[in-house]
Amino acid sequence: MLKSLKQLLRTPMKTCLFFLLMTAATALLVLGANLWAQTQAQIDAVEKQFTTLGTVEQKPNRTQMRTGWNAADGAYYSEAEPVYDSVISADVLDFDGANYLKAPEKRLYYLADLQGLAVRDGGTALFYPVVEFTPAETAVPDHPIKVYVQRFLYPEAENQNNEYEIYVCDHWTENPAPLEAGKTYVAYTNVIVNHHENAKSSIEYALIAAERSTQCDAGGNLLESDMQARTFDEVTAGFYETERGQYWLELSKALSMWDTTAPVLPVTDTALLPSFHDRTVYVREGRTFSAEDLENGAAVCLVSEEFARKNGLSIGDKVELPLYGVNEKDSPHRTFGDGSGLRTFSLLNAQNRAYTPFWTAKYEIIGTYYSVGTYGKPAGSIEMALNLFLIPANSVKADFAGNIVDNGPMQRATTSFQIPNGTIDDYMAAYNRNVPAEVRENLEITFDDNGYSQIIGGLLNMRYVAIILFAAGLLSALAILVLLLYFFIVKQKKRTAIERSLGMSKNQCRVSLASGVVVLSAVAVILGTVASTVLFDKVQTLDLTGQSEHTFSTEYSLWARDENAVETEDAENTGVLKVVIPAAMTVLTAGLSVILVNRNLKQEPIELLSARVE
Amino acid sequence: MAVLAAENVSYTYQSKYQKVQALKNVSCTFEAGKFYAIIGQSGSGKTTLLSMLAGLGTPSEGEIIVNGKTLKEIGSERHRRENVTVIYQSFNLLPTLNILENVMYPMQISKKPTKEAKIKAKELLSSVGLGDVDPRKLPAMLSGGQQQRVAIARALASDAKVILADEPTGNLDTENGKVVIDLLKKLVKDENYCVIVVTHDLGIAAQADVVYKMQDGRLAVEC
Repeated sequence: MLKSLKQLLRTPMKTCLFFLLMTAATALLVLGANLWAQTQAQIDAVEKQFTTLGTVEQKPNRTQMRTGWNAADGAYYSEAEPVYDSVISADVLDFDGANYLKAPEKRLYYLADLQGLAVRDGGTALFYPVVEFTPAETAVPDHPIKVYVQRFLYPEAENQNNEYEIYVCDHWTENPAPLEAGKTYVAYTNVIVNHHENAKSSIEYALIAAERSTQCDAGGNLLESDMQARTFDEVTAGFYETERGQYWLELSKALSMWDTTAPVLPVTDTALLPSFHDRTVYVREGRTFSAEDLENGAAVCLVSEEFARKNGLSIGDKVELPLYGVNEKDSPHRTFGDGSGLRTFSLLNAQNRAYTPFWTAKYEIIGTYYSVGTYGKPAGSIEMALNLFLIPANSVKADFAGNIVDNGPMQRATTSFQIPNGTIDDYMAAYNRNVPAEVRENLEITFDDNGYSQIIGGLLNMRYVAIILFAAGLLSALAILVLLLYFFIVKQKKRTAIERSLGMSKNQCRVSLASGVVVLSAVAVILGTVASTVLFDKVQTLDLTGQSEHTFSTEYSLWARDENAVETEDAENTGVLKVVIPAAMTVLTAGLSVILVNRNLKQEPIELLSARVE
Repeated sequence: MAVLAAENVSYTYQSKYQKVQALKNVSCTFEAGKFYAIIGQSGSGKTTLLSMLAGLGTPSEGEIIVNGKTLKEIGSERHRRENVTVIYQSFNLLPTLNILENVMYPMQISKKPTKEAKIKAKELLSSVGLGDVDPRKLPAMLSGGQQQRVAIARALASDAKVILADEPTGNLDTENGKVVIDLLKKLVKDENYCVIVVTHDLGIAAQADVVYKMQDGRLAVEC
């Protein structure tokens, strides 16, 4: 081998040239390979971390104006409200060509009565009391009139206050019936700021029309209620035994339950929740649902950090969830988003009774989630709410057909699906092809891929450049290797013939010619690999702080939590390349060298050695 | 006793377009202490016969006999290493080795210690009249005659006692040619070498103890 090297070094210019070229080509090859591997790892990480969520909203067919009377203004007011001719089922999204990772689901949520737990801060009781009162004088309540409170049916705690004198007004009725002095009335009121002229108090108790049930059947049809829309009733002896009296008692009971009600969102996969998708909400302590939890309907739940803190709950604790209502219309955010508790549905069923629990079970807290926002209120979320419980959908094993408090069309906050990244155009093409136009014109599909399209575009370009670098390096290395072998082996046929004529065996001839070339190539390849790796690592660890911190920093990124995994994959990939590429190049050189020397050996030595010199 | 012999040797090879029978049933013997010349026109089969004798080719038919044993029994590599050595018209020195290393090369192939090989190589270079030439010179730095003398020194470096020379003076001027032939004759006379020279030069043939004439692949006349 040394003699072989010695002979190579007797042509120093040629040998050095090939050595340098091979080193440079290998450096280029390894750089390209490292860059390719790293970019591929990043692409894989992005594919793993990013998801594409579609949300669906049914557009109203039209809007209609709803008018009402405002006593303070002495005028009618009007509000636009959407009108849906029909409710489109999410099943229309089950069409050919829809390649779902997670099929569309329209989420409902439950109402759980959590007595004994801190659910609301202050509650709504003071603003929506059910009150028995006696007017100070007979009057038409088209303006706030003075009355004496007899008692509060709701909230009962208010009964501790004596000498209650309030001003009531049938605020939303154009021609209200008179209230007579000496008689006792009961009404559901809303405490509002008094805007009437010559107001004698700063607030008034505006009477609210009887709460009409919004209960729906399992098919989503509103169930009829016979409740007459009256704003007050006169309380006489035996009144509360009548159907009308029962209404006020049930309403008060339902409102009391409402004060301790928290929303419970059953999920098939948290990834379908927009807030989990965009990571403004994520499990920070404990764990999220496992596939088994979701599949088997385990009695486990996720609660907000704020709720756990307020109630002194921790992971492993169990909370009983008596579920009494099912909202199939809105997301929890609509009513419970900021904790105000403004309802859009009735707490009474079609029989004017408070709902009773249809499912009660103890759920173990397995994790607490954090909401990006203030005081645990999910900022920017369209579906999450304060004090929201998340449970596996399959964990509720009872029929709730008699407890549906409302039903409505698909909304972005309630209906979502997941498709593979980068297939939005394909999905929409299939959607436009296979879903009837009359359905499509009433649906609006919105996609959120968390910026995947932008990121993957850049990464694919980087990978393309890396592949070009790799290919250029590979072609250069192969071309240089071929030239090296041509000059140092193919062109050395005569040397092989001389050595054979001097008595060398074929194996000795192979070693004599190929070993030097293989060693030269191996050293060049190793040097090129080391140089490229050092350069690559140097670039990787360049301290760009200060230059680009304001434009590229993951310090506060929601995605930064998973970065370590990506880096580990990078290190593994590039580590393997550092060994594989030089080894492969050396093996290739050795293999080709032996093949070419064998070709030399096949030629009759005498043909080469007896060539006449003219 | 013949140190080398060809017995009914035929050799056929496939050229690009046809099969060529280069040797046809050739038989000849070579003894130690004799100077042989093989003459004939170009293409008559002289060099092919030489390569068969050198073990650089395998006869299609017949045998090469070396000291009573067939070449198959001895093995052609061992035969080339121990029994015969070849000198060519174009010298065939290794261009990347200096002249000392060229002469040492056969000894290194035979695993002779480097130090010993170096001393013997220097002696051999002196014996062929190159004692005054810097041994670190590369072959290309020498004249044709000097290169051929290096080739002879290299031939002598092996233990072989049969020298096969293919037109050894074909690339030399008359004076250098004479020096080389004298050198070969001296080896025959002084050291009992068997020298077989393939040549066109009838002047060289005239100096041989035995002359074989080749014609169309056959041994036509033994002069």
